[in-house]
Amino acid sequence: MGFSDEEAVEGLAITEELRAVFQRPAAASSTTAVTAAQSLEFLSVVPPEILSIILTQLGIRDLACLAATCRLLWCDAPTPPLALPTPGLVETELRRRAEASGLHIGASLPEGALSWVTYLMKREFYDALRRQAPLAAGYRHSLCVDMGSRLHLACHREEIKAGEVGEPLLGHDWGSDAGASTVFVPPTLVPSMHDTRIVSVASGDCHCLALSAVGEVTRGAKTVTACSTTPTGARTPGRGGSRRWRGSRASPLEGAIARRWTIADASSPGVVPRVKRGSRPVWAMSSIQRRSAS
Amino acid sequence: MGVALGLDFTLAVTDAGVVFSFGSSRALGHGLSTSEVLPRRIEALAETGRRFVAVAAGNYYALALAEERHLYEWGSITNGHGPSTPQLVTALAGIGVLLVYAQDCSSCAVTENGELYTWGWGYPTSFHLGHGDAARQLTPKRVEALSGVKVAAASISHSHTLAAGADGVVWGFGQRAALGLGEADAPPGDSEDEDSEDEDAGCVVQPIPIPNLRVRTLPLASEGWVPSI
Repeated sequence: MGFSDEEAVEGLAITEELRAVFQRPAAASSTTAVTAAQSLEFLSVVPPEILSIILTQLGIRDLACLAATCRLLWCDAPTPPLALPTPGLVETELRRRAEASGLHIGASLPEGALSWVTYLMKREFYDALRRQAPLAAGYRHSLCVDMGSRLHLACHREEIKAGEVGEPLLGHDWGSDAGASTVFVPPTLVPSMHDTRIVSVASGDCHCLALSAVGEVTRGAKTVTACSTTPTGARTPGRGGSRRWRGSRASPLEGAIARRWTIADASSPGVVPRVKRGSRPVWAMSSIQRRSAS
Repeated sequence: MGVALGLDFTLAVTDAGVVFSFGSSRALGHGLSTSEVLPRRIEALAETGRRFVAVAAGNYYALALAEERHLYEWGSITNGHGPSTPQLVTALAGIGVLLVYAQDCSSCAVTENGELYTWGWGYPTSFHLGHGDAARQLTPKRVEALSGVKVAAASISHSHTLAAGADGVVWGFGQRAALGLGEADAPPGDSEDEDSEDEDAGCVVQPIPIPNLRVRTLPLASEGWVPSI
């Protein structure tokens, strides 16, 4: 078995939480010690449809713990007392996610540290790692996403002059009455993005990108170069409307940026995949633009 | 799974952990070939038998991170002569790298122990690598000044570096201009400003926390969250 005792205990705890939600008088009045058989008995009274819904909401780590525990429970039970569907709901859910990740799984589940469950957990970890970009250092400016998912910009005051990178975000006359005596703009909440949840930022020399939780890309760019062309689906604050990237579903999207090129892509399913069975991650190249003069 | 852009080339790593490159550069990783119109698999990386999880690219060089947390580098940071095929970064051998980022001629890497490594070069007087001097650093070197911080996210440009600790505090060093730290906080001639006569109006040599700002980072430092290899 590829899971530690600790993880098995976590799985039991999840089962306990489920028990609390669907408490049955008979089970509650019995002994305080939770036996494996009781847990199994409890699972049997939860309608499979509801269990399925609950399972879709769990993280892969929790699911894996639950899967391990369930198998432990099956081992402990003298006879398989319950008419659980075959394959089990947990296994079905894990298989669904594996397929959503483009992973082929054999008919029987391999066990151990190299099992596909472990693989899925790693996969989720790297997905989270890849999506995290709360900081972006650019030429004469910095972007940060704070604890409240709001966008902050710090830069040289030159950067908020008309036509410069920070101008679409802050406006060229930002702080003209208060802080104009300083050459630098301290970290400042971007007013036009105040009500937008930002998840990721990227910066280059002449432009910067911010990705919102609903998949909108906002861009600050120099207008004197070819970078000023607004990519499809992106919005520049104060210039034209906004548009969601891919329908109403929040699509994880990341921006990668380089000195002279910009590329934004809409990519694969989120940490908790909600894609249809069999669908594949889509890479949509929205724009590749080159600075006209360097 | 990820893309990265160099000056005239593009890197991509697929969900299956295979790295492709195309464009026109000596940093494509295909050996003698310096121009590829279509994405081409980098054979030297495929031959390692490792799965790759992230790529990064500077102007004339590229980085690829394997799932086993080894880092490979090829091309040249200085646009001089560099390896045309991927080489294991020996300075980071045995140190698990979780995150890697590159821009222009500067790179940074975050390890599973929360250490920040930087290397590259930038403005002659920018101090943006955090090693206390403005010298070129062609191999990864740990930012000792941040040894008390569990770094969980970082970004670097050719003028400054940002790093966030596990507690969300953002540390910055390099050019004051890009950090948004004005004279009001530390006037020119401050003890840290060793090059205040420079036209860039001062640099932050030792990392300082950006005031009134906390960012959300992944719990890289917490026990059990990072999967074992």
